[in-house]
Amino acid sequence: MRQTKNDKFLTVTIIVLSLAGLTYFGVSAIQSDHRIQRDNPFEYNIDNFAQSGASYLSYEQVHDFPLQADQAHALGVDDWDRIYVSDGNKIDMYDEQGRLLQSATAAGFIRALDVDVNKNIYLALESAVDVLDSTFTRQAMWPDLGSLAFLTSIAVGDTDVYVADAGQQVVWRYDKAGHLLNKIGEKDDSQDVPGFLIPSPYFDVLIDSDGYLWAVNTGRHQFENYLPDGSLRSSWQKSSMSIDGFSGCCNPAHAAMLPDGAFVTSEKGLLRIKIHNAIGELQAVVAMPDQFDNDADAVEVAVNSKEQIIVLDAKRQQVRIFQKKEGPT
Amino acid sequence: MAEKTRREFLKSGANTAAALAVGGVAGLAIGIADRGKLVWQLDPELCIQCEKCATNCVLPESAVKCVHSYSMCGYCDLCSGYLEPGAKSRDTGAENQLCPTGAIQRTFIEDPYFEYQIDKELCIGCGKCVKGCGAFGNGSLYLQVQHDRCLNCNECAIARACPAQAYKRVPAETPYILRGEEAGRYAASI
Amino acid sequence: MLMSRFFIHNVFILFILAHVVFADPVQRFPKPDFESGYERPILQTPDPRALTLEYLDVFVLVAALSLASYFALRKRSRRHIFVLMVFSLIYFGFWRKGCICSIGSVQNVVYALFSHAYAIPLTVVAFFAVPLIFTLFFGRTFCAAVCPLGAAQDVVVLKPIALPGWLNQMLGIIPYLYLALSVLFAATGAGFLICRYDPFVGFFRFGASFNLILFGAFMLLLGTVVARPYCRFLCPYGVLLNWMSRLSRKHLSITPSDCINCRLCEASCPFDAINKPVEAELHEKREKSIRRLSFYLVLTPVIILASGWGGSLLHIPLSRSHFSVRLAKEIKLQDEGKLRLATDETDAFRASGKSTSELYAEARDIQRRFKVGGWIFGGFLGLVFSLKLISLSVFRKQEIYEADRGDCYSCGRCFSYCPVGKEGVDLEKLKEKAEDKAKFG
Repeated sequence: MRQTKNDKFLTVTIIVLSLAGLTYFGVSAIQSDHRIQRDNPFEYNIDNFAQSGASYLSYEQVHDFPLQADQAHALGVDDWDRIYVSDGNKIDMYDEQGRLLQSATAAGFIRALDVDVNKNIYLALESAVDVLDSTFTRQAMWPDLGSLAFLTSIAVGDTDVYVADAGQQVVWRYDKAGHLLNKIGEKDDSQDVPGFLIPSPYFDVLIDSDGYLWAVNTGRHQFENYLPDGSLRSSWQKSSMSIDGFSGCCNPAHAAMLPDGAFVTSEKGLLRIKIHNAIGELQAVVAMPDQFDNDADAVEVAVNSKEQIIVLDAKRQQVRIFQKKEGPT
Repeated sequence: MAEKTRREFLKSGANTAAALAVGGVAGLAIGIADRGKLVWQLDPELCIQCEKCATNCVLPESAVKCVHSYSMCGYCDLCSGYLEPGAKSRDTGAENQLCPTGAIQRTFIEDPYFEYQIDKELCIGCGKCVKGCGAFGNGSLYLQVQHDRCLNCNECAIARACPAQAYKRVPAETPYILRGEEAGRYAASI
Repeated sequence: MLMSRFFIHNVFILFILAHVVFADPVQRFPKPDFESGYERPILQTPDPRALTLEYLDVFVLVAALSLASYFALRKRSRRHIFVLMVFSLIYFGFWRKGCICSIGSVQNVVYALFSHAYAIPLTVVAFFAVPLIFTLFFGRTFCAAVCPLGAAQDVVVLKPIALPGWLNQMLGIIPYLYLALSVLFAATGAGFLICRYDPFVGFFRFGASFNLILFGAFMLLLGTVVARPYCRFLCPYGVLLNWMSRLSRKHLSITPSDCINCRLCEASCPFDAINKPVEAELHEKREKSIRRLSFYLVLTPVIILASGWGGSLLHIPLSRSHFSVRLAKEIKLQDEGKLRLATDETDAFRASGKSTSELYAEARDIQRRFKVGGWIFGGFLGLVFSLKLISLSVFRKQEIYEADRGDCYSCGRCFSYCPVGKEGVDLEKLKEKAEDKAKFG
């Protein structure tokens, strides 16, 4: 009799206990279906770096205009401050206010462009250069550079045209008629040429006021200045995660030059625009990471005659114009 | 007796009908079925490195781990997938490493190249290096379900938690979604 | 059908090729030129479990079902069934980690029939259909010795108690609800509920979330006194097996020949699946029961319609379990400024470049599916409820002790209780004893 009583007690206890447990599970199952706020212990956090450099911020956005371009990629400004933006195969010319002035279609996806003093437009396609005159009519199509080529930048001077080829990691020098003169930047220890290190297709070239080539060796975070024959003239390098340098495998992704020889640089990863002087010291910050969308790619930059910084924000489909703040900062 | 045979007849009929119903549903399913097998994989193009791969797998140690497409890697000295942002120096010091488990091995190859290898024993699939590599680098580091570990659950617990819906069932003959030249490995096989 | 399979296959190839040929320029970038003769390591990509092993699983399933049916119907041996059950627990449970599973396969079949994107593997179809076919011939021998979930519970049955009939009937409705809900979820692409709440898979894998382990542990604890609680009061596949078993050509019988109503097996079934003889005469008048039956019959369509309507009302809350619907809602709240917080989901969506109108359209389509599905879901439950009412109100003659065809798992526990055919047993005496017992309480 006693035994059965114990048995019954045990049975009831087990049932009550397990039902309580199952109820707990049921309730927690329903609750866990609600979305949990993110709390990532493995967050890759670069907020500190994103905020650093605010004291250098001395530019402000003065104007922007929208683009009808979901494949916006290349940017250029001519001596009359007209803005050229590519959209896939298309090239559009805008005035400073953003009014579309003229359009044309190139023979392929436009990866980079530059405009010379005669308003001729040089378009770097994936492996060839397409030249339009000021009426947007094709003048010439230069010979293809082959399947290894992957052009990322073009700089047009008074007599020379430099084309950056990230695929073959060299800069091609042409005359304006499209004759290939020589290639620059292959590793050559005897000439102290370090060789371009381009791990991904970010490889920019510029021409300074003296007509010399500057190439951005992004893998080394280095700016290199070359004579037309390909010998290294000078260089500076700034590798750092902090505001005064460049980091990652290919930065600065894009660059432009101010009349005094200072560099306007645009980075990927931490999207920001800065100005470094001719020997590489940080001078100013144009735009901070919080001024761009989180997942945007590095922005193209250009400089107009008023020393304004023109920015192509492809993610927002906008041209944004920055200018030095007035007065003491 | 007649009553009984009628009953038997009805029962046998119902049995046949049920067999036909099961056969019909199975037949419909077979019509759209594949003789192969499906496995779970995540599409690195959609991945946002939220760390849910590390914590939502039914296995105590996730089946998802980082892989490295060597064909895409820049072999950089300043590797944003390897080094902590703002690392004091570019070396293998623990304080400079981004990976919480130290699962990336850095080896000097030649000036200026360094090789990075994932130690799968140590990798927990948190995706921290993937984010670093994707932000500043090429995206040669990315996460993939490792099929020697994956139990191939009918409903993958990570797939359910994935905020980017990057998980999908892929044919077992092409069980990885790789990048760079490595992607060709599975394109050639079909 | 063949065409569509081909189509899916080709689209897939195109997708892969497109990925390789037109890949992001970042991906086809030349590697550094190494001068030291360094060679890049090869990325290791371990292969999944071989396809032949999946077919082996199907073979093991068929073999185990054949053996189980043989042990239950011919050999009549609980011991053999038990050994086979332990084997299945080890093979399908601990070795195959509970995933491949007939219970879950219901969802795969439904998902495949409703989603064109999912090409269900043939082995999964086999796991769905083969146990049902076997049950149509031999009863639920799958439950007896093949299903690892059943086996896990069967080994912990220690001191089973008999539940009151009304409770058994009421709890017995839950599997129908669970089945209907799982089918609704699978058909709308909201996920696989059965897999999500599988109580024992955590044990099979030696790891699961704390709550799931807890669920399994309490299920097993409860299973010591209320035998096989998952099979009886949750298992959605059990509903289908129950139907098939009711129509089965053959079925296990408690006694090897004729029942002598000795009552020895009466308490032998831990699952309350033995139908006892009921007294021949009715306690109520025939007209009364006929009137009640016709009332229920008339009521049936009303119940079905009402509960179908009720089910359709649930389509909004139910649809929220679908990822896209929930995402659409969050995006909408964000765009209206009512939700400040960004989640990983909304961030990922905004980075994906998909337009909100596309997402809303998708969410509306899913809600529409839930609405139609809600009607069917509710209607089905109404039908189940009505049939239950009718079956309870119909008087069925029962003269002998017999396994209930629907509920019996063919576990064979009752065999040893039956004295018929055993040597040295005086059947006449037993019969008398039983009659005495019936008379005097």
